[in-house]
Amino acid sequence: MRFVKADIYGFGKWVDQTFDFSSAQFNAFYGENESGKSTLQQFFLFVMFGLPPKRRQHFESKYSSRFGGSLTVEQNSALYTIERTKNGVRVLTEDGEAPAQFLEELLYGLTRETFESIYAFTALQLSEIQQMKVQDLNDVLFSVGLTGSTSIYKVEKTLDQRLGSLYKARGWKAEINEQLKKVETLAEEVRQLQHRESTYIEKRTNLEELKETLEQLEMEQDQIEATLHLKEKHLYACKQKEAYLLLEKERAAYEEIKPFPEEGIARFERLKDRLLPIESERNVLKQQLQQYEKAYEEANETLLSKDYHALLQQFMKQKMIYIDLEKDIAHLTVQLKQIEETLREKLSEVSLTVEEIEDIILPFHLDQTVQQIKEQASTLQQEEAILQDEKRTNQTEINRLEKEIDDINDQIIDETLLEERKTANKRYENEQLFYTQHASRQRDMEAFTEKKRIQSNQIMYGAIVVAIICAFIGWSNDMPMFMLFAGILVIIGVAQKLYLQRLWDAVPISTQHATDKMTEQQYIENEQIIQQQQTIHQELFLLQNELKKVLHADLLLDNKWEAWKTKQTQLQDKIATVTFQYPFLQQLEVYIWDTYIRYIREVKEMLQTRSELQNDLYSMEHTFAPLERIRKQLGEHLGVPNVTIQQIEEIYEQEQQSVAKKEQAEREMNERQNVLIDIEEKIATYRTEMKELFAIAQVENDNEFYTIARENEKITSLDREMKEILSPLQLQFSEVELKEMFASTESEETLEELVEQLRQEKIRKQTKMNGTHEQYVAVQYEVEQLEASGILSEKIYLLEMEKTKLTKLTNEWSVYKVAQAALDEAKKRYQEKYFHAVIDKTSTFFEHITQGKYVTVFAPTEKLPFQVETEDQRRYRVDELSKGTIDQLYVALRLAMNVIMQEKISVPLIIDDAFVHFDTVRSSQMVQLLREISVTQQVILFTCKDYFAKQVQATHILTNEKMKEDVHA
Amino acid sequence: MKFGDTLKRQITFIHAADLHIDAPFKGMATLPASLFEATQKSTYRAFDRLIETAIEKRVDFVLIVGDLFDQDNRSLHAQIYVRDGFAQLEQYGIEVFVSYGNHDYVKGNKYPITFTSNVHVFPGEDVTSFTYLKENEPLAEIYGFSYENRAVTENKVPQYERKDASIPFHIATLHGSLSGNDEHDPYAPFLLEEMKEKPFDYWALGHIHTRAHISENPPIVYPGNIQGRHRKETGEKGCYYCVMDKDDISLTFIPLQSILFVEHIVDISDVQSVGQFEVVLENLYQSAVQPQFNHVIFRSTNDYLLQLDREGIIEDFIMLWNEQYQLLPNWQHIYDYKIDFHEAKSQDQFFIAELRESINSISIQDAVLPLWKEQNVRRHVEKMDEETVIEEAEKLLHYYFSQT
Repeated sequence: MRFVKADIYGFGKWVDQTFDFSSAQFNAFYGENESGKSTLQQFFLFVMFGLPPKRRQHFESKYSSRFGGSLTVEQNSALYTIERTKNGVRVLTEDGEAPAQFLEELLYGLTRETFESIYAFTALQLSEIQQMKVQDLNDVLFSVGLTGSTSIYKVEKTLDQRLGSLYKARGWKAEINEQLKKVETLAEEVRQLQHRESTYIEKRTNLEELKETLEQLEMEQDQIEATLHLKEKHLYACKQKEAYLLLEKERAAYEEIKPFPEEGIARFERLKDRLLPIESERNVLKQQLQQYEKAYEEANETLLSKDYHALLQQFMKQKMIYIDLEKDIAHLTVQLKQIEETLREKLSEVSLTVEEIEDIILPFHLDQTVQQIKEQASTLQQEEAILQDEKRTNQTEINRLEKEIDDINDQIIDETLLEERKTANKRYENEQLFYTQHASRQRDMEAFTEKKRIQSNQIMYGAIVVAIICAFIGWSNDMPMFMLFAGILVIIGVAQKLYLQRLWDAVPISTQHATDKMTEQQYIENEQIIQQQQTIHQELFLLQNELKKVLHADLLLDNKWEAWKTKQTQLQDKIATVTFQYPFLQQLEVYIWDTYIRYIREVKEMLQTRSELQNDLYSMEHTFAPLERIRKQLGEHLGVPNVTIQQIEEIYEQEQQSVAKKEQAEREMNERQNVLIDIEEKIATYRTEMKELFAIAQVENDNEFYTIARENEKITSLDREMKEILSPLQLQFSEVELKEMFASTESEETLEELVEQLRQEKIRKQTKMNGTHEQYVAVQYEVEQLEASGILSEKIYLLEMEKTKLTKLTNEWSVYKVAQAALDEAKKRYQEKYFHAVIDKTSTFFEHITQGKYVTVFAPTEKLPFQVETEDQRRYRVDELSKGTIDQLYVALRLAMNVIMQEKISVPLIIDDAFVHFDTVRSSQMVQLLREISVTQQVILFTCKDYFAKQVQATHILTNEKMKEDVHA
Repeated sequence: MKFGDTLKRQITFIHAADLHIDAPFKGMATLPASLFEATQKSTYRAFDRLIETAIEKRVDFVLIVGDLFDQDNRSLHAQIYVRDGFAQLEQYGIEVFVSYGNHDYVKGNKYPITFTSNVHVFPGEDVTSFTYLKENEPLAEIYGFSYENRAVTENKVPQYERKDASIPFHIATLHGSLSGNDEHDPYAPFLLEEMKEKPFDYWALGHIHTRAHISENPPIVYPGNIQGRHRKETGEKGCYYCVMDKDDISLTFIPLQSILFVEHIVDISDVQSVGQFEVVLENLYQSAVQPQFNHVIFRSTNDYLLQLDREGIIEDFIMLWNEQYQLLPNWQHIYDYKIDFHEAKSQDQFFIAELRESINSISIQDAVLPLWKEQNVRRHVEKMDEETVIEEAEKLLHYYFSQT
């Protein structure tokens, strides 16, 4: 790649400047200090690589708002323009805009730093040469060699990291280390398990042995137990034996069992139990009996004698009767007295004797009859009175009426006269009527006339008016017709009025009647009179009517009177009949007959009553007398002469009580007697039974009885105990043994000792057995575990898996390690390859620059820096060289690097006053070298030394004033 | 079978070998707990099936030709289990003829278990025989030997001599490999021709874990092992059920494995995204009748594969896949995978080329020495071969340097 053209819009002091590089490979810029050389350099770098904003600011032109510029470059015979402004960078090709990545390609992926360090050559860099170590050089070379790829460092780091995490020589948390541990642990476990399994045979044998031992022990134990058992038996028997012997001795004291009733004691006891209450009961009863006997006696004594008792009874029975009778009798007596009195009164009133009254029979119908008669009489009397009254009244009335009629008759006017008056009035009325009618007709007529008159007047006047109007109209309009018309109208109007007038006048006015006119006064008078007469007539008529009525009534009345009379007669007859039958009524008024009869009746009744009462009284007294006699008797007996009922009652009560008591006592006594008999029977029975029991036992009394019983019991129990002891022994021992044992005298102590010994031995044995058994169980368990254990196989599997894992990791590690080694190797080779070339070239250049003073340059190593060798093989270290020579060396090195790199990367070489320190001679040497270089590579040189500029034949001259000068060299 | 009816004489038997009871699986770094047990018990399950099959078919006898146990992993539990298994056969009158191989050689048996009376073990390295009696009549003679030590290097075939020709059937058992076979360790090497010349009706072999019928007449058969234990032992594993009569012998393979090993090779050159990868992985699942251990090789010409691997994406997805299928009764589990990456074009980055050169020039041994010098590591880990290491390192560096 080479620069063709630079176009600055605005950068630092440069504004709108163009520089052309197309003409030469070797471009030299001469300009004094501050002429903008560095700025220009910076511009190139800026366009290629850009600048961070802060640094950019520094170059922003004060003279132009535009900033940036473009750089046209040629690569592979094609032109590209790189334009960079504030807005960014773009690459333009001949065809158009290229993508941004293209820039990288153009620049071979170089960075600014790389470029600067290799292709931009400054004086400053020169001064750093002493610091240049192998490493820097190497790195620089290396990084250049890798176009557009990750720095080696990154890869190395990654590899390193992974290797470190996989494995560390000193086992700190690395995967392989840990996995190894795991594997080791597992392997160990497997070994142990396997080892454990190997003990299997041993364990089995052990198990067998233990089993035998156990069996042996068991056998021994059984033996011990057997012996122990036997001795224990003996020991036990020992005790039993003694006990038995004791019992035997005791038994000997007794004889055999004596005869005794079956359950004798029990039965005896039972009988006794029964007997006791019964006997006590008997005693009680006896006592009671006595008591009741006594009571009986007592009661008996208080009683009255039989007779009197009977009397009392009798009386008491009829006590109420007595009392009632007494009362009744008194009562009756009083009543009788009353009746007698009343009777006397009544008798006096009726003034009849008793006998008479008694003779009188008053049937019921008599009352009726009497009543009838009385009523009739009364009625008739009343009727009579009424009739008479009526008669009188009638008569009065008749008289009056007649009188009035007479009076009226006097007033009557003669009929004919009256008739005249009537007629006159009639006439008057007609006239009046006519008159009125006439008058009204007249009025109507007048009204009509008037109306008509008015009408005709109206017509006339109307016609006149119309006529006038018409006349006027006719006159004014000169229409004679109208006038004519008017005239006609006038005429008509007047004519009709006149006509009518005449008509009316012809009507006659009504005239009044010429005959005797009655005056109104007269009329009225007449009227009055007529009226009066009428009234009178009416009155008369009325009166007459009335009179007729009264007379008629009177007649009726007479009839009634006749009827009354008849009735009266009848009544009299009746009365007569009655009085005949009952003569005592004769003297009396009919009106009091009923009263009288009543009286009589009453008296009769009373008499009746009296006789009844008397009868009653008599019977009562009859009944009463004996009772009275009894009472008296009783009174005498009791020494109380006038004994009262009450007293008798009391005595009776007492009697009754005593009787009751006595009877009670008697009853009780009987009862007890009965019970007593039963009891005695029972007692007898029990006693008999007891006697029987005694008989069986052959005793006489209960003491002996009990004694026998006791003895028997004792004997039985002894026998039993002995048997109890003997029978188990008989089970344990045979008969012979038993005899032996009883015969023997082996002491208890001996036996006890022996038994104890054996017991101890048994315990010991048992412990031993338990111990052995435990062992056995434990070993058996282990054996089973081994046989069943699948853990070994599991572990083996796990181990295999972990090993595989480990293998994977180690393989990975190996790969990484190899990669790392390869990388290192590659680095070495690479740098060797190029490095040697560079050193070679450096030597060549150096020789050239030093004009053969130094012929070889040696590369720095770990220990030594650069070295140079003279022709005569004298070596000098770089720090032994003069400053100028060092500079030369550095330059040679730089240029050599540059040239070597050119093989791969072709970019312009930019030198900025690098040779400022060089003297003329050295400078010219440099120039030659540069020219050589420029053959293959574009060289852009900046210098402020004018001689140098001359030497290089600077193509561009830069001054402060002249900003742009194109000098085509 | 009627007594004396020679024409109808027939024997049936099961031929199995290399049971390796309780030997662990290889190549599994981790297993989820639920699968661990199944895995651990897989050889036992296969053994159970063997016993069941024998009983079901009511065979006359069972031949176990070597490597019944795995020396390093021979546990008491395993032995007792086998003993009990054989004891079951006794109830059905089935005999068992056992010979020990290089993995369960006699002298290595620390605690010999007493088998039931129906089990006959070849005692030592000398070839001996047992007579199989049916209803008290000798029907077959079984020949064989057991490894006394870890290896038998001589050819044993000459030592097989037929004993009694009147016995109808003669069966030879031999645990060893074909002479000249480099793939496997040469134990009791034999020559095929030599074997064929011998007057035996059937050669029951053992030692090779992949079943093979290496000859027809007479049948010379490797039954293979009964349960695969690593990546290379894929497919069905089991035993042979043989029905043999005078004229004919029929062999039926009976699968016994309780877990199947399956190898998958998947090309994911077209996979550009994680989603696509996921789909690829999904398609790996096929429903099975048995639990399965899957090994997958991802192949690609696209270096996206490296990225998937480096970033652990493949690992994560496999873990998810495993979780999904691990709870099924016939679970499936991807226990490992490999990346197979072939570059389509060579990247001509000069530094990469430089790297490649460097890798090939350095000493691998020296590079890995820091770790491998540790005794522990050497003891437990199988070293990776150099080629693979170099390949992997290249890929790794390629991956890192291609990260922009």
